[in-house]
Amino acid sequence: MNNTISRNIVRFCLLILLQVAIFKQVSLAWEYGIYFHAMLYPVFLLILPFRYSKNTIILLGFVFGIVLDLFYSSPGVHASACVFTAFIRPTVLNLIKPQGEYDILHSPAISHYGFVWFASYSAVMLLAHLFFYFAVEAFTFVYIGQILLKTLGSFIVSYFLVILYQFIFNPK
Amino acid sequence: MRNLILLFVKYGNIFLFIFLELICLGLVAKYNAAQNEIFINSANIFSGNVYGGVNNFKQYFQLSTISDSLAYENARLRKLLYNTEVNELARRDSLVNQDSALQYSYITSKVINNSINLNNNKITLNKGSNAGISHRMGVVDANGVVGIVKEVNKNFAIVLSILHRNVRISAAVKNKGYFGSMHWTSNDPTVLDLTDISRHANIAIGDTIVTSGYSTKFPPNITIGIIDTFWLDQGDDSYAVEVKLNNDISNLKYVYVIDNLLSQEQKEIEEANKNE
Repeated sequence: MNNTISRNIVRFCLLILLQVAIFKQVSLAWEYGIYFHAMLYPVFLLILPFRYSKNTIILLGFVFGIVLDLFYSSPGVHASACVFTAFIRPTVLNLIKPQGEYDILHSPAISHYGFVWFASYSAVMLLAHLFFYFAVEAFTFVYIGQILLKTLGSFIVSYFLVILYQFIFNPK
Repeated sequence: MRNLILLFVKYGNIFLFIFLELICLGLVAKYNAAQNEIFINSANIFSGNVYGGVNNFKQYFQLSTISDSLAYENARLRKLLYNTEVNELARRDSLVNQDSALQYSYITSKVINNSINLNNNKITLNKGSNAGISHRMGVVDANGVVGIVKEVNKNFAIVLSILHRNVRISAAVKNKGYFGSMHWTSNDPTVLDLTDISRHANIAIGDTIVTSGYSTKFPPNITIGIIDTFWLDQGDDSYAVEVKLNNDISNLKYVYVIDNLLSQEQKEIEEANKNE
């Protein structure tokens, strides 16, 4: 029990650090960086344990997003996308069931349910997250083309990172 | 009550989601400059349309008064038109530069929202940048000064009424030349304060106060009101003057936004010589 909490706290800090210290700088430095935001941080919400209640996950998403917003100096943009992602998580999990049922003691991670399952689960979640993020960032649907372009570009980069993260850290 | 609690238990996460999302979007709209602008513009379009609808409805009940005021206005304009024709004719064979003949142009507009009972009153007009209205233009009606344009979008404009604490209007005593600054400090929507009139000035109750024309927003000699009372506080070197407004801000229908075609020119030369 304590183990998962401390593990999640470490992950929380690590992901924010990675995001603002590395990925943000890369996006900023590159000319076409605005279309290819590398966003690894949603993985934090993706692999929270099943045991946490819906409300806990939504609140965690909010806190996580606000902390990110502090670093990005864009109050509310990441937070709203994270809250949205946390909110749709149970629904997506229900839609994409693996062979058999979920084990309440596990996390929805690659080590428990396999690569194919995790690839589809994280694809749906990441697309939803990125689309919501860029929509809130633009704050209007007038530039829907831009929003979709950014979503797609960033998805390619971020998806790769999320899968890579799973293979490297392989959380239980 | 029990059902209500059950409802919250069952759909708690949806309420939490909506609640947090609203906080987030509030933060986004409040603290991010670009999004804030989009929010304000959309809100203005929305509120402008609502006020426009309300106003359309209200107008049915005011048609007779409006037609009266329009007839009166027509008469006044016809008179003006006649006078300008005479002026133009007189100028035709003189060598006055025709470019400077027309300094002020007027844009008529309808008032669709107004208030008088707040500390900072604002007025919404049904025309905006499409009609040529822009930031910091003066607004008058047939009887006097109304305010200064604060913000415009395509089809609406927000005017800071003269009943707004931050609005100051440069004013003068008609035919006597003393000038000062008008400012609303009371809570009475018919009375404005005039400050900075020197204690040596020879003013009297009933004197007419007009715009001075020193600012670029209003042409000179537009009537503002008449002196109601004035007094000299101990140790002050200027009079405190209360001016009764000539127009009725609580009953505005049609106003004219003043486009000073030479304001840019005037500001440029003033700015260039600011430090002399």
